[in-house]
Amino acid sequence: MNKIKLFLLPFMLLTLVACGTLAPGGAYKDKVLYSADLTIATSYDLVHSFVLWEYNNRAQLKAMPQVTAAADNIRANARMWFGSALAMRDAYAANPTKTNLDKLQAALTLLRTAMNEAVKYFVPSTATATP
Amino acid sequence: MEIITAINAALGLLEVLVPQIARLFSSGQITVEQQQAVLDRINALKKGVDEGFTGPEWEPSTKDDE
Repeated sequence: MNKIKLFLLPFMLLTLVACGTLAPGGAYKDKVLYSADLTIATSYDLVHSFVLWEYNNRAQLKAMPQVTAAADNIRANARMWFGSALAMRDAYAANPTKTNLDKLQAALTLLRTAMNEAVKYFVPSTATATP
Repeated sequence: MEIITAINAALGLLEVLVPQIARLFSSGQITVEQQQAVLDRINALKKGVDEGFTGPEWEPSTKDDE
């Protein structure tokens, strides 16, 4: 595994914006909307993997209660975060104004924060066991 | 030892997820197929926004203590 890539992952996720250009004739005409959708889908995959991993390894993680606490925080809020992001995404898609863009970006920031929280514990060098 | 088992499991998951995330940062053209895959993924999430958060892994850990 590329350790440098792992180390950079949290920083990459903070600025998650799809690179490249949209090929003509595709499902998207707006790069902002494509990036938003990519962020939402990737966030879901990542936080779901995290809560599933924590659930499957809870006994082994007893010495690291902060991991379970982080997973519980995500469990308590994920439905609201994703529901909000999807609603803001639809509002922006229907009416791409600056106000709707700002609301969408705010919703995506919450998802990026959740992703970073999950990744923090997936990367062993940043998670420390309590004695 | 137990922590190492858990960390190994996490690394296994990351090995799957990191290339997926790394693809986001690759430059070049986002193909029609890639765009459609993202749109399909979002539509599936929208359709199953409630089902997406069910299952034992989404239950708070404190429920185990009850």
